[in-house]
Amino acid sequence: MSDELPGYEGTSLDPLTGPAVSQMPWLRSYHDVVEVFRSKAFIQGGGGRRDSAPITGYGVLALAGRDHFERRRIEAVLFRKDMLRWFEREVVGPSLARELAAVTADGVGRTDLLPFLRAVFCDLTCSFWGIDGVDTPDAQDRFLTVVDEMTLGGAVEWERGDHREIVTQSVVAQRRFAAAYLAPAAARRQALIDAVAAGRLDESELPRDLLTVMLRNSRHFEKWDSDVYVRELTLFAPGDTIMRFVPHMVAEIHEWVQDHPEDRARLDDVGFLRRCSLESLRLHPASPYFIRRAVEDTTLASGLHFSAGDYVVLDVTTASLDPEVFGADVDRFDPHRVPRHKVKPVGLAFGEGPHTCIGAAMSMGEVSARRLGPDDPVGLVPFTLRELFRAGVTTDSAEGAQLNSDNARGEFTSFPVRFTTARGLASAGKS
Amino acid sequence: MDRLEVTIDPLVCACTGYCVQIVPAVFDLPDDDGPTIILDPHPPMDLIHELREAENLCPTQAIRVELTGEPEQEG
Repeated sequence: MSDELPGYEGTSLDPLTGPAVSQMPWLRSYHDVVEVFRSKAFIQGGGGRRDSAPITGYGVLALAGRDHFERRRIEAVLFRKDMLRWFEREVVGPSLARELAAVTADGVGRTDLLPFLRAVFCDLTCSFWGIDGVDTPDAQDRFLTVVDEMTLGGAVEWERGDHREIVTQSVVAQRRFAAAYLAPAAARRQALIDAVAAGRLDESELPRDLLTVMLRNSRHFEKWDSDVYVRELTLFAPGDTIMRFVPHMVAEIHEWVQDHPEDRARLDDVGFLRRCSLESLRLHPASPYFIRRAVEDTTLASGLHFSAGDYVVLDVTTASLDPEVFGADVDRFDPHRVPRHKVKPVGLAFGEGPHTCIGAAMSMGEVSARRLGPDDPVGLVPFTLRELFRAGVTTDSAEGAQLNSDNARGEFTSFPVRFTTARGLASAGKS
Repeated sequence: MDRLEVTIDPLVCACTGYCVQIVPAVFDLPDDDGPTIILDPHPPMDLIHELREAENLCPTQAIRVELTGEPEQEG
């Protein structure tokens, strides 16, 4: 019996039958990992066994070379500053205000941060993807149920359960999603695109979302099977990713200001919150490792040699704890950490080189010494943290937080909190 | 008269190489582990659209393209 995972039938996907991750060499030093990220001698998307391929195959993460550059160029329009500002202030801000108002209405403000964030970021996912009509709590719940089932298979590499079973469920969920949400949204958008082409509608009236962008560039996407649209959407679930690391940040920042009360006043400072976020991501990277394949013989500065065709695992989790770079207390959360070597403020959180995460600025804002202007987006993570702390978020010691033992990502499945002040409510929709 | 000024924040540049592919006359990748190199910090105005695309495509927002005034001639 073949051990191929389901999901290839009727698509242009080929089963990827390279070695399993456990059979590849692992790089664990910070400098080795950065060198491979940046090296032209290695590519991403060069095959290898990727169990998530039926769910996200031929998505931007899995492409290399010209196709990858073309896809990034097409999708970059969604990551321009004006779009990031819009997502922050017009989408996530009002969602946060709405959910905070609902949670604090009873005067107690006790909730679980996971379902809270899930509801907050539902609007972002719909706005980013271009899905319409998810505008009641019941509709949100139905939508998020199918999205959760899809995205689980998209990150099946980190799951400890049966990959075949998970991917099968996700393929079924993708088909349900495509019929119930994607098809009607695509039909509406295609009609608008046709109206623009016919001169009946001004281009500025087109929706600004991933689905519209993909349909307007259908010539690029036609290189693959038609399911590439749903697979690309699955890959881009911005709320899904942010939800995974915000609870760690809340826990670590909360503990930090308890031990360092001099920093408590800085909980309103997005620059400080950004540093905290990056330090937390160093300890809990969103993706534990990445795979690359050598396309030519090469030797790293450390002396490690790879021949063309060799696979290698970049162990971001261990490299981010490299004491040679980050000091002896690497496993401690310290937002004021000064690395021993000159390293980028973002560390390895978003990768480096051609596959640097397209959503890095969307998540963190501009990570530079430049002074941000009043209209510059601050980044969805610092923005969200600021609003949570303005609302007095605190870990709820009456209930214990639960880590997910089903996967290797170290994410929470439950994170009880209390909002002790409603100070953030009035401001959450503004800058 | 306005002229273009291109800068790269070396602290955040992730060397994706996108800018090099879009405007090879202005950007180049380094041979070492440094940031992307600027070949021409004051490129001709007719590259403005390509430079704006490079600025928007940079995932770490390391590139800045600004219109600045022509420096006054001395003497």
